[in-house]
Amino acid sequence: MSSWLGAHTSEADLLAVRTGLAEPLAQLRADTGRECPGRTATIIEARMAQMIAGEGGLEPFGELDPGEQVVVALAEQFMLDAHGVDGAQMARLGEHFSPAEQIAIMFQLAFTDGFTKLRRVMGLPVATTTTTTVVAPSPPSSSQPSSSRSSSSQPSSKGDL
Amino acid sequence: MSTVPHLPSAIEGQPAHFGTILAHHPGLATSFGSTYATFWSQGVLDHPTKETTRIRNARITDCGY
Repeated sequence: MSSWLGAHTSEADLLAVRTGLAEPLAQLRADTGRECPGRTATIIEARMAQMIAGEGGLEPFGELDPGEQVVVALAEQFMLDAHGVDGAQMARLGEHFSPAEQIAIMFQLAFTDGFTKLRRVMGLPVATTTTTTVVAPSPPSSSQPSSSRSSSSQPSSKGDL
Repeated sequence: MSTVPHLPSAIEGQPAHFGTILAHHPGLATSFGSTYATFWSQGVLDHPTKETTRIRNARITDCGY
């Protein structure tokens, strides 16, 4: 991920060049601090810092296709505040994924969200190797709706989910 | 949060709800149903405690269940 300056930078460096960003950033911080419940404001602040510094990006995955972009946006909103996922966002998901795939995506989000919280609360370290074997469910039945995405964009090794 | 389902029911003649929407993905529905049943019907934790956490989670997350 490149920063808003196209390279790794600091907020001070950014604002020195893009002075017009100072007021919107301050306003965003004020709004989130005043209106966002729980840790949301802190998370948004952390995400802003990542964007400014050019960190936390998705470069290892290459250029995202439109469907993947929808999923990333949905994942971020789901994690930040699921109440903010609206009908338009779900409709965009439906433009790229079949109903079965949408179900799988939402389960994936729910599990990762829930189990990340579980790991955090229980103080568990991030495992670098898998010590248990997870058996993937059976392949989809032939009666399942076909994907609306091209086969080349489908993951091949993630099982049914 | 919207309470209007974003997917139609996968079971003809039945309204869209968690179970009928999940039916779009039969394999996942079966696996999840089995796991969910195990969570609720077995284990070392008493049922009132499970139910207390379920209700508290539902209230906080605005879940209708």
